[in-house]
Amino acid sequence: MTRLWTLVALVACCAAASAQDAKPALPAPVLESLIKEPDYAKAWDLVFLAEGYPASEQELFFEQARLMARKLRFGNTSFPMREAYTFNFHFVFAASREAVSWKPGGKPRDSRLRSYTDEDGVLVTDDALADALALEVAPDVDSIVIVARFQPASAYDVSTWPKALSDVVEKPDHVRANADMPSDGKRARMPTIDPDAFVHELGHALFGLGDEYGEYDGALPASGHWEIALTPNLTTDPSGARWRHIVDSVFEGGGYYATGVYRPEQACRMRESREAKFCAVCAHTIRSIGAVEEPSEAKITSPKQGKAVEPGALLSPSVEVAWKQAHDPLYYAIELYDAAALEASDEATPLWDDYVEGHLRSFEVPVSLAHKGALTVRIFPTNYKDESADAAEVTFKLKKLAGGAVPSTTGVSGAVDPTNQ
Amino acid sequence: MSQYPAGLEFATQAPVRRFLQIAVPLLGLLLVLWLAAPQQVPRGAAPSEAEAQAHVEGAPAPALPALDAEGPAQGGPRGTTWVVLRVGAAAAEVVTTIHKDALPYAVGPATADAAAVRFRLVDPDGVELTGPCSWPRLCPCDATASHTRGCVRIPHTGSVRLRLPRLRGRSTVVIERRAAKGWSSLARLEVDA
Repeated sequence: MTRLWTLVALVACCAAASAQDAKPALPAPVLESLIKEPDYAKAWDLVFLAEGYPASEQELFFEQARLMARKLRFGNTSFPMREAYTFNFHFVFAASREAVSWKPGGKPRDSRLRSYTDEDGVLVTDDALADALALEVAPDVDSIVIVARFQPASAYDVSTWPKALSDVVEKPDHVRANADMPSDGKRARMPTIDPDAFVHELGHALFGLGDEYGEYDGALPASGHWEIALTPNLTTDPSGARWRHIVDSVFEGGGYYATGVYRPEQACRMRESREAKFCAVCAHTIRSIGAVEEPSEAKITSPKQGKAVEPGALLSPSVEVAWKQAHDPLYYAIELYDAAALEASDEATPLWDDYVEGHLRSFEVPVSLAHKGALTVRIFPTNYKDESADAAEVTFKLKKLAGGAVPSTTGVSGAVDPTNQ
Repeated sequence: MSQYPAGLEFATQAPVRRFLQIAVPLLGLLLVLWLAAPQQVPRGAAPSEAEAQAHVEGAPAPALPALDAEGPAQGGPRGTTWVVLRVGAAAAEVVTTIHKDALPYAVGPATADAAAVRFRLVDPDGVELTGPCSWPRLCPCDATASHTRGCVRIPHTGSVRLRLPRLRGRSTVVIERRAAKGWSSLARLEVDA
């Protein structure tokens, strides 16, 4: 009986499909490559994907993608990138039925990678579709650049939009290019009309550099420190100790905030995304990515294993670390566990975790007043390439408080070991 | 730069439409004939497993052979299998698997020994290989979707391009992150060759 109903449904579907205009089949994707290193294992294979282009605009896509590639192949600004990697370029044209919407908060249209513009005016793509298309067509893939073709400006009457919407995007040119950090996929999403931002976006996608520009007037909130810790060209330490082995200057403002975040130099491509050259710290990070050392193990020197620790005014015991790697430490991943839970399972969920800039040698770990029993801290030194050493670990107890203390809510603060400078 | 009118879909060409009007009913007829043919699988058989599934590990990882090999085993260079995964805070799922026989498998710049995250592949013969892989650092904030800071995407979900040695049959892939005394499991996948 089930089969009968399946047959009926199929026949009905076929009849319905033939009764209406079917969508045209899209032509097969077309690949054009510029190969400088035929051994793909040695090359960095950068794959450009067409998004939102009709079949008739194949040549236009190739022109626009080649223009971006030229900025990497020949530009003065991108010179450190060419020292770091030998690039192969693969241009994949896959036609779409519709162009990408530039209306903020819009829905995906019938484009190949289902891209749209989010409510903040940022280009968003279905990354899994992009990954699958690139891997299907290109001979090898290390990074992906999505080149998005938008609807024309006349597609919407902006005068009818609420101000909150038109303040974000008034025309296709306003849609923002963006990128994933290396561990998140090494992708850049580029509106066709913004090729000058390409090298800046590659700074994020290939080398993990942070944005040095400011968008907000206030100071970096404590909850944002972890994002700064992951980027080699920003710090919350006004001394500039994080990059003193490269350059001896420090300027306030960066990481989207006017205060509380510091950058190495006044000007940098990561601050002025379409103009300046990379500063000394960014250039050093880019050049050294192939040669960066695997992180060495750290050692926690305080508190001592099994000791009772003074909680301190904020109930935040200070942890001190010795790490012999003086240059280019990137960050520590820190995890705080209930020691008994960790003893029971190595996959216990941490009570708290955070990232801390790697030049720091002591920092506070916030502990809840409600916690009873022993605690374990683990610290993983990690470098630019997401390589990590085995964790340093210590288990300790908290001394009882006289009363009146409150748990820390400020996250991590730290101090630099002067012997490391 | 050429432009096309607002909201206009690319025109359906008449020959294509005629072709579809013939081809779609024909395809339907073929499906009907196929369904009407005797079934090869007896009714009542257990439904097949999904092509490939994954889950973030809460339960202990299954018993697997001890780690005894790094890189391609048994023979010279082999091709590459790419697996595309959608990754969220609670689950990972296989989107597609792509085999590139002509692309030798290479571990890339990071080694499994130093990687913060690695894969552990167990092929149908029980041979085990490890290699480095990237895994998205998912945002811990309360938002329900990925968002941006400036022009950097902060993922709440992500897509992973997992580079593996060419698979020779249904294999198990365990994604692991570095723990204090070894590795802890992030996800486990069953992937078809």
